[in-house]
Amino acid sequence: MNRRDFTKFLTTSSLLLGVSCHRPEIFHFTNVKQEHSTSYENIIKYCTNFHFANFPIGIFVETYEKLPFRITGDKINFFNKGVVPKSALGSIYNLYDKHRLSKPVVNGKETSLNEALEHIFAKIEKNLAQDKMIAVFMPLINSPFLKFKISQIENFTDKIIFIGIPPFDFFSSQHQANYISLKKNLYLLNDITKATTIINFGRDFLEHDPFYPFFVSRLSDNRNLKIFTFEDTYSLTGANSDVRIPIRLNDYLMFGLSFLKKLLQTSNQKNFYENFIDTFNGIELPTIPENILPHLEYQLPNIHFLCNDYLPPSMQVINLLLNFFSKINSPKSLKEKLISLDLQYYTQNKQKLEKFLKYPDEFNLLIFLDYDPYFYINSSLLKQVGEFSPENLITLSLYKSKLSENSGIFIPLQHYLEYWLDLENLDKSVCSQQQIVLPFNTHSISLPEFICLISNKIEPNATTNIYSDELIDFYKKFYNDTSELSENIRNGLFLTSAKSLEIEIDFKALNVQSIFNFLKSEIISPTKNTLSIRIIPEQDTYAGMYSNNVYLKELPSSVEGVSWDTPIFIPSQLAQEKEIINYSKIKILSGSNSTTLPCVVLANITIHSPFLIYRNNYYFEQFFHRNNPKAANFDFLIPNISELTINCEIQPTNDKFEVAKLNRTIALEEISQKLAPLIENSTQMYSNKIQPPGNKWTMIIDVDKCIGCNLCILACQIENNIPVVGKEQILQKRDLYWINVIQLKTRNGKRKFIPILCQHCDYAPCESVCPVGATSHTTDGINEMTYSRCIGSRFCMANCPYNVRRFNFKGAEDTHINFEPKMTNPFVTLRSRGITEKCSFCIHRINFERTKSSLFGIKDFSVTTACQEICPVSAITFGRKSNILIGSEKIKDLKVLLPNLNTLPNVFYKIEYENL
Amino acid sequence: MKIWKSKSIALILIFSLCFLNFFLLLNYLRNGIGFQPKQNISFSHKLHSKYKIKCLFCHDQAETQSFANIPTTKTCMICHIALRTESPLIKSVITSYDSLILLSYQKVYDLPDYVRFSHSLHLRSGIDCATCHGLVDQMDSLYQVRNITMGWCVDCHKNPEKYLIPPRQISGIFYPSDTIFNLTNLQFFSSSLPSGTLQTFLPIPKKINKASVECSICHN
Repeated sequence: MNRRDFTKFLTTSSLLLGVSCHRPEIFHFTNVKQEHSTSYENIIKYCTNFHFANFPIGIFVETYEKLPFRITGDKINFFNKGVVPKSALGSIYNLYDKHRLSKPVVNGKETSLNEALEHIFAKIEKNLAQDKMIAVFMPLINSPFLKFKISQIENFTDKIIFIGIPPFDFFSSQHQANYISLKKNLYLLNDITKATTIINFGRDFLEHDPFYPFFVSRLSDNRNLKIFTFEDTYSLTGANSDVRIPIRLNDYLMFGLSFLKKLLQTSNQKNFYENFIDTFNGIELPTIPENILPHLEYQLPNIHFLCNDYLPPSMQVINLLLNFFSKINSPKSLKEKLISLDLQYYTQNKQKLEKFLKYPDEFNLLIFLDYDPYFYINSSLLKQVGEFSPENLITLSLYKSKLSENSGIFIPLQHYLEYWLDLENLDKSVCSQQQIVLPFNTHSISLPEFICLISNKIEPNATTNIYSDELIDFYKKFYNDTSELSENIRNGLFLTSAKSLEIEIDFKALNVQSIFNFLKSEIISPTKNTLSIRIIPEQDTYAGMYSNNVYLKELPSSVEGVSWDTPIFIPSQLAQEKEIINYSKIKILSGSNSTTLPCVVLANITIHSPFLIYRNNYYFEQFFHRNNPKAANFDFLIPNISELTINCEIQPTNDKFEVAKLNRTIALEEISQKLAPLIENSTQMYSNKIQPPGNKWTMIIDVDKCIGCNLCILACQIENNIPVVGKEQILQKRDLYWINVIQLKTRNGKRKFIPILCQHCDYAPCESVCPVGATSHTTDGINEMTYSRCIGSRFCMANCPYNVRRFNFKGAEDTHINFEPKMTNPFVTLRSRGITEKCSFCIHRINFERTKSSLFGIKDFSVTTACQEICPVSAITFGRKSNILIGSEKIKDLKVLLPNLNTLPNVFYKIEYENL
Repeated sequence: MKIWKSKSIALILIFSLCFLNFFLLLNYLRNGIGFQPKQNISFSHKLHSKYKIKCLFCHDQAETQSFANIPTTKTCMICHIALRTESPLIKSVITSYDSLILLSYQKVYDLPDYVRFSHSLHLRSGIDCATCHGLVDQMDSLYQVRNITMGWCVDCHKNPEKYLIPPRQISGIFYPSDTIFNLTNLQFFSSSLPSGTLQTFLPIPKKINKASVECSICHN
């Protein structure tokens, strides 16, 4: 090796070490390949896993010079291919939160990390010497290494108990139902790959669902399926389904029973049918809508029943039976569609929690590891914790909070991108949660490291003191070659899948009669004259855990289009009865408690009872602006998540409340005139001036595929450094989003979503009016924007027929709430105030690929835009015109916005009006 | 009244002169020719180029990436761990290497945030360092030679013949034809070098092409 190569080697190795010093494979495996870091532009790709509701979601994070910000969902070999949820996109930015960077506190005084840890260990030893119990609360993490470590500690002493708590209690009802019907400890996840029809009982599997990536990745393959949704709220799944049937909460069980009756009739199960008639004699069951009946008769094995996890166990049992009886004639298909999730770990932890709630007097010291009873919905636990004195409370959390103020010792924790961990998948493979950056906060400690420290203190067996070494040593047992393990780690795995997915359940042992008796006992006659509010925890902000994240707060909710607030949605009938005005505050009374909340009256949509999507915004307002008197608290509305509702009264008030709404709806007749095929003569009219069309960048948006999840808006915002403007600006209609999603109500009552972005017209009306030539046209057909040249005359905005240009009323630093220069994309300029901006077709990505291809001598190159990369149903395609639109026949099927203006847009839409 | 008029004219004249001066000053500040900030370490490019150390020996990232890096102390220490260790100038480098306190340099060529400039692309298309940076190998301390403004960039993109300098040995980018390195020898090197390095050796351009002047090439 000559000197120059030696220096090159030095720089590349220092680059690797500089980005992440603790990457285990660098320390442990000598063969670090050069491909590991792509040498161009310091980009390093990492595979990490976002832990969400007790199961991992795989994501790729690309870092540019120590900055993790670009997230891609592709190239992952787990079960959830290519889908990134909003929460994963948004929570990356919690890494940069200023509130995170604080020092450990012991008895009100700031100290160093080591001192605080010594205080904790001294307390633990003191308690163990006095034979008193210690409870450690933490989120339920499905990590084999942590389970092993915890079991080591618990085997050594009975006095320390680790209680893992899932954020929402969504497993409980499913679990209970499985136990009632099958006497097994299983969670049944319905695989909908081969289904042609889905009958859905209130499950919003397109948005507020922990298994969202799993469902959507399967849905994107198969768009020929029909969805029938029964729901008591209004959700994205309801909006996208072919038939939406609004029902009351009590009706779920009755509808389920009538489905069961119909199925037993058709599937030739006479014994069961007679049993059913006998037990439910005299109970009136509602009639099934006529649209669904033919599907029940002819497409039985391909039908799938989905049920909301929060619905009571009786409904879960019915859902299980429905899935069973629809496939009883073809047991093979049944086997394929059931996936198990072992719930032993879950039940053990639940028993531990019950033990704590029963005998709290036995415990002397409580340690909260990334678990805050104030955030999660568990009021009974909060009551118990309140009786402990601050001396006996220890918290380790990301932020200072109400809990940390009341506790003696506080240590800041690390973000999940700052430490290593292992997570178990549904197929028993173990994926790695990789460290991506060095911890920002030098006083912080990671959750697994803390547990390792405790176990090493109590039982000093470990060979090394470094946590990541221990993690690697744990997995070395399973391998003969270390090189195999190092390759797996690079792909984001510790262990490849060991067991098969299929499970066998002995359905002959099913005691149907006892199940029917159980169901009959569950039927409650609906009580009249009581009002109940349905509360749904929002999965994106983790029911409030991430609601300090401004990106997620400003993003309009997909169906209602509300940003920044958590209003209560009220049916129009109820509003008329109670004389409630839209966008006003209403008073909610329940017992002695009362609170006021903003309301939105849903006029065009039928729902029967008001509902609230629980985003816990108000908590955070209390935490970060403690003296804010406006912060409302609706604790009392959430008694227990399994109870679903609470009976209360609603009173109108005179206070008005402005709700920031971004959604725009359009009628079908109007859009069919505006979104139409290109006029044939128009291409000939300007043919002399136009560049050869094959070279142009074009985008095709498949409106039939689009589910309207608004992920493209969020991805675009993060990619292009679009500032978060705040509620006041949105109320003045000064939002800065480059993509608008317009809703379309069809004749069926179904909703269609049309994303509208800059059309990059060949004859752009905006270009000709610009007095300074800030917008111009490239040879690639991109309508480019030169921000440094723009003087803010806004002529282009006035002349744009598509209304896609946005004016930056404040600079990036003024507008951005929680602005940190670190979290911006270094390839896109930060815009100053007083300029117009719009979609650039991700021109920095195009330039990046162009330079890369010219450096390495590649002629053709493909580009994926940020919105295309993130789209869960792959509704967006982007590329050269000649590659995407081959032949003239395809262009005829495609539609274009406002074709009569002859602007010749380069964004095409696939939409068929005949089916709508 | 006449006096008043003459006074006002004089005032206007003075104001206009001030404005003119102001714009001249602005222009001077903007073009920046001769800008020579004082460096903490008096590094001499002239001295080092005497020993035929190529530009890319230290600024090696210019070949593959958009930024031409200012070399780290590690790079200095490749030679100076043994050479001239007793010189007071080198001692300060050694102390920074030992104490892990970085040496700080003042940037001479600084582009605004909204401009993307790729060194690697320009090297690839056969542009010598001296085209923009001047004959650095004959400077003791670095100063600005060219007026690095958009006008100059666009002018060079339109009429490259005006500014381009034929590739020199000292820059280290190109294979000089008179050396023992022939293109046929590349294959010999490719086996011993780590993968991906081969493409960094650049051929001599045969003709000069006009570059594109689209805004988005430099402004994203």
